[in-house]
Amino acid sequence: MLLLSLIESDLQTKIIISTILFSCAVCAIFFTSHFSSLLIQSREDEIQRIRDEKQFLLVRLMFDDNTAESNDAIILTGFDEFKPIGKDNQLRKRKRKLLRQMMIDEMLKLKKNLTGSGVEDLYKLYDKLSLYEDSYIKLKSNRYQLMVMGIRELSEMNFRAHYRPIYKCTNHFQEDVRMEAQVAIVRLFGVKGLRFLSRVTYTISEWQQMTLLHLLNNMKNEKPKGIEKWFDSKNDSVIIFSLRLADKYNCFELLEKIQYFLHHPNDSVKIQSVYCLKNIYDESTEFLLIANYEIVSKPVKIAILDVLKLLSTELSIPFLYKQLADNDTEIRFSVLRVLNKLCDHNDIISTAENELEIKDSITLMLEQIKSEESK
Amino acid sequence: MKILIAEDETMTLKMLSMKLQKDGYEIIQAEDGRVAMEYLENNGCPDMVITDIMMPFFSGLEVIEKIRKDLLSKIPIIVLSSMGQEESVSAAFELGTDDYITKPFNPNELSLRVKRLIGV
Repeated sequence: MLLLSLIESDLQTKIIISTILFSCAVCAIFFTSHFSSLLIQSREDEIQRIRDEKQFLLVRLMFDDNTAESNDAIILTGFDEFKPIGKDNQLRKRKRKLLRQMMIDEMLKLKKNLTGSGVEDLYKLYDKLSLYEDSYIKLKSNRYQLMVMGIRELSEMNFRAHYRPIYKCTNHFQEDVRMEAQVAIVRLFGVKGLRFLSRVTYTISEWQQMTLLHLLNNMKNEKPKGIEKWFDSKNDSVIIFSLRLADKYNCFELLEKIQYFLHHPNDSVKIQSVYCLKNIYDESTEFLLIANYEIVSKPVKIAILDVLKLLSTELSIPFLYKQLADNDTEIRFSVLRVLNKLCDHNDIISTAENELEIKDSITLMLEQIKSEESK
Repeated sequence: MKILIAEDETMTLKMLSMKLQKDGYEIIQAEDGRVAMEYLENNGCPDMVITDIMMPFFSGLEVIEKIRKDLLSKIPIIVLSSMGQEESVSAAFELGTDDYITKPFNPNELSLRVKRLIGV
């Protein structure tokens, strides 16, 4: 009995000790997490306070009627933490870096919604606060994400002094860096920046080509020089992009060279040259497209028919009726779309009836084309 | 003259406020649609409203609807829109907006539009 009660009391003691230890652990976890969240909260509050303060100073610098001297005074007092400090103070160094990045981010945000002299003021301020140094450090980093950030900041803030390393990156093996650098160099120099096309060996994606064209659309600039030089590139994506540029800038003097690409081995180049001929053409283009029609693949044929919708004259009608015999429905549809521009529906049906045994399908297709047009 | 500016991008809000304060207006800042709605409910309409279209909690369109349909006010309203928001701008005009400006914009131009609408 005594032994049993001794064992029981020992067990109870163990349970009590374990409960106390468990409670202590729970309390410790609770206090640690509570303390951490308080610490994080106070840090976030501090960051927000600094952000508000710097935003206010930035807006004051830009939109208050300050003289150059008073602006300098604001910079001197308001951006005190921006100044370089001794090597030994790592904490302040880190804080300074964070503050400067915060300032760059705020400037980029503001620039997004601003036009006119305000943007110029932002560029000046970026220069005055030497924020380009921070962007340049990022550009020179080994981490691609940082490189992209640095390139974007320098170009958005129109800082041209560091264009050389950016230009080097236009043929960088890492796609994001390369794309950002190409956009940056065009943003900084307009059509003159397109000279990177002479050295780029990697494919310029469709998306990137659209981005660059969109960027050029929003810029006042003259016709780029040397498009014909890029026509000789070994990189097919450069040829395609050059054809798009020739189209955009109405380079009629390049008509002969554009027509030459109808014989290019790459179908994508052929298709782009066909679409380029939609705007840059002469009286012989219609017949040139027809002459090439038989020797090209289906996607190129569809492109030719699409362009013939605009360029074809009555002289193309016999050729088009002949193509109605094609077994491919998509091609027949495209042919009918061209014929629809040139002939009356009844004429198409009666002529097709005489020549082919596909009257019903042609009638149906014409009805569909008619309903598409009415929409 | 009181102008309510509803804009969720703080930098743009501060920049507009400073610009219009300099022109002599009293500015009420609303950093989202809810703050703008609360102000309108508690204080009624100011002399003018400048509002962004896309904002958290309530959109600019809802703010305009509140002014025109609930408060039955005819105060001038300017919409700040972004590229590609043409449909929302049309909807804003249908609700009774007086003018709009597309971001990015020149603050001086906005200031002139405000002057023209408010008649000062």
